[in-house]
Amino acid sequence: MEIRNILTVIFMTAGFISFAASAIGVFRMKDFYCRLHAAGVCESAGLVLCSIGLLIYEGFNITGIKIFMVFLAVFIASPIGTHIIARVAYKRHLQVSAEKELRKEERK
Amino acid sequence: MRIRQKQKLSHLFGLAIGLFALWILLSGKFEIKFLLIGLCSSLVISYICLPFLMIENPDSGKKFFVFGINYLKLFSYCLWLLGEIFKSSLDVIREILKIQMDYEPSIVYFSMPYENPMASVTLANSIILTPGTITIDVMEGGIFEIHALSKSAAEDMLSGDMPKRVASLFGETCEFKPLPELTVTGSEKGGKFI
Repeated sequence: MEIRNILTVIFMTAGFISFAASAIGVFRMKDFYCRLHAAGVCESAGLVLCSIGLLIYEGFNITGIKIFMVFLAVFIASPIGTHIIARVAYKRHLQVSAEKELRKEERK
Repeated sequence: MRIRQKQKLSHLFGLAIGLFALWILLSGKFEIKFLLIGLCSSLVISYICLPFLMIENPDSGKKFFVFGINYLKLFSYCLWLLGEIFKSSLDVIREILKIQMDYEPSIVYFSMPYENPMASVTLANSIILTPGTITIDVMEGGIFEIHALSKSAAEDMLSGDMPKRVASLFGETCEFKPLPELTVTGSEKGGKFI
């Protein structure tokens, strides 16, 4: 029981750290596509770590299987959203990088 | 014709058994009434949904069943993908927390013409799941357009490890071809994408 709690705490902490890092990244990155990369950290690594922690805490029973199903659904479906956002931005000719640099030059 | 019908029946019953297992797992009740309702509804649903789950390749007209994957291979592929996700998310977190940001985003192209549409979907999905790379588009002829956050991520993509694994997962035999002449780095001004 003790070891299980310790493992849960370790995995959940790692998950929260990756959530925090992706939140910081969304503000720090310099362009739209790079922000998408930062958001991708939370939806893959953060989700995986948190659900592993919850699975270890819950054990192999009906609740654990339901947690695993939620994890699987998000794992399959969330990349589709990222892909659609990136694709629409790209088809609308949103600049890949260097947009802010250009704006700075205009101001000068 | 007969073989095709046999295949269809096996698809139908496989799907129905899967749905029934899902029903039992989610309800958690083992009374006869609930089991009968679940059995009937899973049979009806799988009969209605089967035509939608056969995906056609637009070029050759061959049809593929969505869940017709080797599940043992899929399991080992998922384990490998989880390892990749952790490695590359550590890379991205390092890039985020650097005080001086010096990453170089770029767009890389490679072609991987799969016969099975599910293989393209799996590859595009796993590329997006690995942090640091995003599939922007999959064009005709199996050309993948990928935005990579850093140079190492772009090189990883062009080494072609992941497409080859997906090809072996689906039993496909097609060649991986990086297309470096199309590759665009983000810092190029006046390029194709401005």
